[in-house]
Amino acid sequence: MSDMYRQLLNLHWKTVRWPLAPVILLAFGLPLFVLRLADVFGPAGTRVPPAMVIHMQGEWSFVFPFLALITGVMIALTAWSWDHQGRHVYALSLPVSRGRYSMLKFAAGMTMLLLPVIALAVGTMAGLAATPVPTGLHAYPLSFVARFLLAATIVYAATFAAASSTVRTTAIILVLFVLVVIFGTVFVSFLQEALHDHSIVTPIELLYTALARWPGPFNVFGGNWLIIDA
Amino acid sequence: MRRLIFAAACLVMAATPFTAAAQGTQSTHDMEIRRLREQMDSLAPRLQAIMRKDSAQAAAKRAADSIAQLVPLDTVAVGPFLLVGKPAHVRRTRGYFEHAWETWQPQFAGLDSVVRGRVFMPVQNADIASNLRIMSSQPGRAIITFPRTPDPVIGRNTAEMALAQLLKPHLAGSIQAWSGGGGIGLRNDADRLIRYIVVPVGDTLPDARGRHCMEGDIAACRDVLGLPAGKSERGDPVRTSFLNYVLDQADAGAVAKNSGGTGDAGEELEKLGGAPLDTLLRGWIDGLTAERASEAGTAGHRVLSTLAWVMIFGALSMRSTRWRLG
Repeated sequence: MSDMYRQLLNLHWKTVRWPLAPVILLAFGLPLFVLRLADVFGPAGTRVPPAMVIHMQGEWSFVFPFLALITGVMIALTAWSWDHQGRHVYALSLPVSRGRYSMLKFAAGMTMLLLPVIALAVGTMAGLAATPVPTGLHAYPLSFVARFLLAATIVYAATFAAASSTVRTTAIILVLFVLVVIFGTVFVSFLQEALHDHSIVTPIELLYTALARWPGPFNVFGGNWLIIDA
Repeated sequence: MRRLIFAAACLVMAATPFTAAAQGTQSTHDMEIRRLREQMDSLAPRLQAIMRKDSAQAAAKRAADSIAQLVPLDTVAVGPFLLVGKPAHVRRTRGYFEHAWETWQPQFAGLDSVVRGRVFMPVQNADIASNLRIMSSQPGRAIITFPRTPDPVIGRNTAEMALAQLLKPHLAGSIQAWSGGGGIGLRNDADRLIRYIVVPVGDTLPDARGRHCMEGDIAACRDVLGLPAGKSERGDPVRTSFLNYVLDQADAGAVAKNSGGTGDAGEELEKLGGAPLDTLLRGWIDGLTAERASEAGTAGHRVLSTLAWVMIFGALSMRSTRWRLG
């Protein structure tokens, strides 16, 4: 581990520790909460029906992709915050290339990302230890944690790339996004009405397909996020 | 202090007329509501008396006539169909029907007389739909209740199920008996369906057979599905799902070709899907298991594509205009 990496890790830790603390707590507590739900609200004194275990998890499983999103965005934004504040003077004073500096910073952020993932893994295992898995169902803790890691990583990488650029570039990207998605969708809706042709695809539909369907970058967010499943 | 007391007194005095006015408005409002309630209560027995005199069918016809007079209707052609309804509603449902027709068109090949000129009336209100349904005895007319929500998934599913129900009477008799009263047409429910097979819901399915089926035991899958010669009164989502899968595999015109088939359900499904039953079952199970939590996010291709995107974003962040000082 190079000294510079250690230094960057230390700097990132100082910036992110307080915002990250509630995320780590949630990452630990949410799987525990979701897994215990069926037991708490299920019929007392009898085995909880398997369908209820799945249903209860399904009602709350949306929190995990959301948590992965928050984790990735937060760690990526804090990775560049002190550079932006110091107008990159510190980075420019270092005897390294831009590429190497970014790579080390990216690696330091990835290390930071492991903290909520470990908390999630511990919370999941604790929840499974306290919840009997009904006959016919299986627990998928590894798959669940791996999925959270992938989801948080891809959000982290995308936000890291966006945050690394200048404010001007970010503004241009945002303006283009707004123009294409919002105005494009409105324009296509008018076009659909005028031509009586509802098969014209709107930019927002195109964007969804490109980003959230395989092989789009955020495809890992799709599908179910259950810990206990068939 | 004296100034403060004076200001407070002024405020109270100023607010008093407003409060009184609000109270007055409130009591007028209450009286109006009471009057309307009394009026409605007095009308209810009269309405019941009229309905007792009329037959249900005549009442429904009158309701439909009055709706037709009140609401100007629009007609739009989608493929071989006609959509008839309120203009705004027809405009919205048109897209759903176009999507559904795109999906189901190959299955209707050779069944032109079944679909050509068929009229669909998308109706939002369930009561109106049921009234219209009573009087729609003419062949070629179908009333569909579209929910109020503008959710495109629900809209597309409703349109697809409407077309699928048209197709069902043209499947071989044994397939109809095997699939029972269940509707066909919903295709995007694999992640929920798998639990119907494995998880015992009430006492409908013994879970051991379901589990073995999901683990790839084709004989267990035959048991679960009641193949080759089972029958079903009400139908169940598992059979519906398999039938949808077979229809997806079917060549264009396969339904028309096998319409009068006399074999058992297993044989007819083989003919329809154009493959041996075991192959069809294997393909169906593979599709379902891909939606399990163990596979949904961490299947190899998903992991690889995500890692590739991470590398792309990482590479993008290394090259920036930020440090180009010159």
